Amino acid sequence: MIEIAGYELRLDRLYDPATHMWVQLQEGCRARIGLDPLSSETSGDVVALSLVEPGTIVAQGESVGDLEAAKFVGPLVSPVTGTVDEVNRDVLLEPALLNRDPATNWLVTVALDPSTRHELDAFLSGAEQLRPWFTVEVDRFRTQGAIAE
Amino acid sequence: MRLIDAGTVGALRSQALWHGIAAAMGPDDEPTLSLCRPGEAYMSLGYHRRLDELDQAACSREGLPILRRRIGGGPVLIDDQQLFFQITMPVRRAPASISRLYATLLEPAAAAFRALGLDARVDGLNDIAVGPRKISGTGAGQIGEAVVVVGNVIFDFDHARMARVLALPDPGMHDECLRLMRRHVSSLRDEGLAHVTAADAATALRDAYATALDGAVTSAEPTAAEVAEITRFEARLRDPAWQRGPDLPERAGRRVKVRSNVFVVHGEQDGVSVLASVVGDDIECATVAAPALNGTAAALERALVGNVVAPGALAARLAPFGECGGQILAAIGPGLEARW
Repeated sequence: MIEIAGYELRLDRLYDPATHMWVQLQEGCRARIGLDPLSSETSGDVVALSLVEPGTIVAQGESVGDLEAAKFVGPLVSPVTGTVDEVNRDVLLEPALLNRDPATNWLVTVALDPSTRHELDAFLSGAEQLRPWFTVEVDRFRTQGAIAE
Repeated sequence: MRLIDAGTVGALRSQALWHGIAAAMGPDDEPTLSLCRPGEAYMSLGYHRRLDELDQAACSREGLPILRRRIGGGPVLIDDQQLFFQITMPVRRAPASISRLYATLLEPAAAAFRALGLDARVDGLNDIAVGPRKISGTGAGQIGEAVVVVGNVIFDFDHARMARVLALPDPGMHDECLRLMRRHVSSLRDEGLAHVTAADAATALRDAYATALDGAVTSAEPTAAEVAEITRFEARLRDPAWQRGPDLPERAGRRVKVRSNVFVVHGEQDGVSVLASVVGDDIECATVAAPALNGTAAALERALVGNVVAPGALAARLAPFGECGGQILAAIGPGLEARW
C-alpha cells in the first residue's frame, strides 16, 4: 500500500483513471471492482446503493448500479467489459461501508470478456504509475473544490 | 442557456420532461433550464426508496398515482400548487463533487426566492430554506451524459394530505410527522407571498440562472431527440417494474425525514415501542410504549430528550435504566443512525 496526499492506495490492484474505480484481478479471468478513495470521498455520505443482478452483461463504461448520496443518484460505471457474476450484498445492506473502507468493500465481480482484455492496458498499477497520476488528480479535485484542502 | 417552459403538464410529463432532456443531452450542449407546472396531484418517490414507504391504498383513495424518479430523496406530494424547475448540464461542465454541485446550482434558485421577497438561502447541503423552514424540495442525479438538479417552488402545500399517504407504524408517528411538516415545510402562501404567480416565479428563476451561468437565455421547444427521450421516459415511468424500483433491503425501524436534520423515527425491540422526533442535534420529544415497563415509560421519555449527536450521549442518559434502557437504545438506534 502507498499513501498519496493522505489517501491510501493498495498495490494489489489496477486503477482506472477514467472512472476512478479499482479493478482487482481474481482467479478464472474475473475482476472485482470498487471505488477508489477519491471517488468515495467526492460521492459524500452514501445512503443507498443498487447493483445489477448477477448474469448481467456490461460493457466498459456502462452502469453496474446506482449510488445515492445527499439525494443525488449517479451511475456506478464499470471499468471493464464482462458478465457480472457476483454482487457484494454487504454493501447493499450497509452502503456506508463504501465511505468507511472503499478499498475492502467491493461492488461486483465481473467475469471478463476475453476479447476485451486490452481494456486493462489503460489501467495504472504500482507505485511508479500511481503516484504521479493520483497526485495530479488530488490537486485537480482540490482546485475544483471537490475535496477539502 | 436554453429555457424550455413546458407550462402546465400532466403528472407523467412533469417527470418525463426533465428525465428526457437530460437523457438527450450531449457533452457539448449548453445548459438547459426547464420549467413545468404539474396539472394533477401524484406522489413522487426517490429512486432508492421502497414502495412500501407509501400507503398505497391511501394513495388510491386520494387519487394519487405513484411515480418513481431517477433522483434521490423520499416520497413527496406533488400537486398543481407547485412549479418545477430543473437545471441540466453536461457532466463534464458540472462540479465534480455533490456538495459543490448543489452549492453551485441551487444558489441561483435561492436568489430567485430572494427576488420574490423571501430571505431564502441554501441551507445545509441541499435545502432551500427560510429561517428554520424548507421552502423548496430538491434533488439531483446523473442521467446519461448529463447532470440534473431539480427543485420546486411551493405556492401552497397540503401537509395533511402528505402525511395521510405515508405508511407509518402507528398513529402517533403520523401526528408527529404532520406536526414537524407544518413547522418545517413552508410555502409562499405560508410566508405571506400568496400573490406570487407561477409566471413571477418562472421569471425569477430564469433571471437568476441566466445571471449565474453568464449567458443569454434562448427560449426553446424540446428538440426531436428530447421529445423522443421524453416519450421513452413516459413509458418507462409508468412501467410497473420501474415503479417497484431496484431490489432494496428492508430497513430496521421507520424513519421519515421532514427536512435536513429534522426527522421522526420509530422502532420496536422486544415489545418496546419508541417514537422520537429529532430536530437538529436533539431528540425534541419521545414516546415510549411497553406494557412491561410498569410506569417507567415517562422517565424513559424524559431521558430520551436531548443530544443524540455527541457519541455516547444518548446511551449515557439511558444507562441508569439498565436493561430497559438497552432495549430503548436497540429499538431506536437503527433509525437514528440511518443516513437516508
